[in-house]
Amino acid sequence: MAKTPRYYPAEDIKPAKVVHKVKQNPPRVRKSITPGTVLILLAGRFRGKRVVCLKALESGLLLVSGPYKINGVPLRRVNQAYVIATSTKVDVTGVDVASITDEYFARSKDAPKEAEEEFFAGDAPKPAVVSDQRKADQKKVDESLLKAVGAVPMLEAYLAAQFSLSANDKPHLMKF
Amino acid sequence: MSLLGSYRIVVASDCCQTKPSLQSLHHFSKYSYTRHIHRMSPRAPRLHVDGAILGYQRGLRNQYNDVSLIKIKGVDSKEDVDFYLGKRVAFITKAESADKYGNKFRVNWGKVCRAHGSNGVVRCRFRRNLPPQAIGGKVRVMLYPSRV
Repeated sequence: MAKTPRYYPAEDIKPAKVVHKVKQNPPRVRKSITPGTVLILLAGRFRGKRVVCLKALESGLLLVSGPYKINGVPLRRVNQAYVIATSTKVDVTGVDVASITDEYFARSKDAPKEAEEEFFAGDAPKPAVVSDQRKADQKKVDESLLKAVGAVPMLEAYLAAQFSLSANDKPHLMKF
Repeated sequence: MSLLGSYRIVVASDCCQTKPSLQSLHHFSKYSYTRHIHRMSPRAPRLHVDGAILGYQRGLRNQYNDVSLIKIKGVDSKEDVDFYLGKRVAFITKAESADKYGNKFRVNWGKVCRAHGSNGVVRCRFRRNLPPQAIGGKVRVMLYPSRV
């Protein structure tokens, strides 16, 4: 048996807790959703719109664009669960969205102050102010996206058309 | 935004209403018409399936109100139910008073839990149990969370 050393600390030293470093896995995206897939939005402001998926962001949300000129859907994040992936695919290899990440969509820090003023001002909701940067990025992305969409016959009209269920439609039998 | 709103051609004897296809729209515009062409803004899409509330989970003499039985339209077998598992269900009622957004519709959300029997009936659980006067009423089965 080891002899207790002559000098030892007065207080017991607790061994450092093992801190497990949080491993961030790449976002898990359904197999049917790849960059370039046409998606149907099921909820939210743009429900029923058919939209092109550009990429999966770090947070797991999908980056999507109408394109804006076709159906009014801007560069937007969308949750996979609220989306049906169709089998229609667009070739978006020429579209550069590397600079657009989750931080791009983060709310500005000015928002809480504005909210207080609003509270005292009135009930009418303010119209959304689209920053020039967003407009510029939208234009840039859509330039190449529209070319890719134009290359496929009838795809532009398809993206402009709205998805809706009609009588006798059975989603569980539909092949998207 | 391209205006691909649908045009409804109203004819006196119009009994079967078909949505004009893209090709037919171009066709009609070329010819002069004595009929009205009403331009309709695109209607709000239907992104849910209707369901009927059959009642609560029960045996003959006991009923368990936390689980409601829903008959989803068009779903007639246990295999068909698989698509709807996990889908959110909305029980919508109209109230007298509006909420802060001016909305008078109230929703009790629920979800499809599992099949009930082999003929497409489904068990659902709601945030608040469905009221008994809802039996026979309608429910909306949404298409999300989607697994397609």
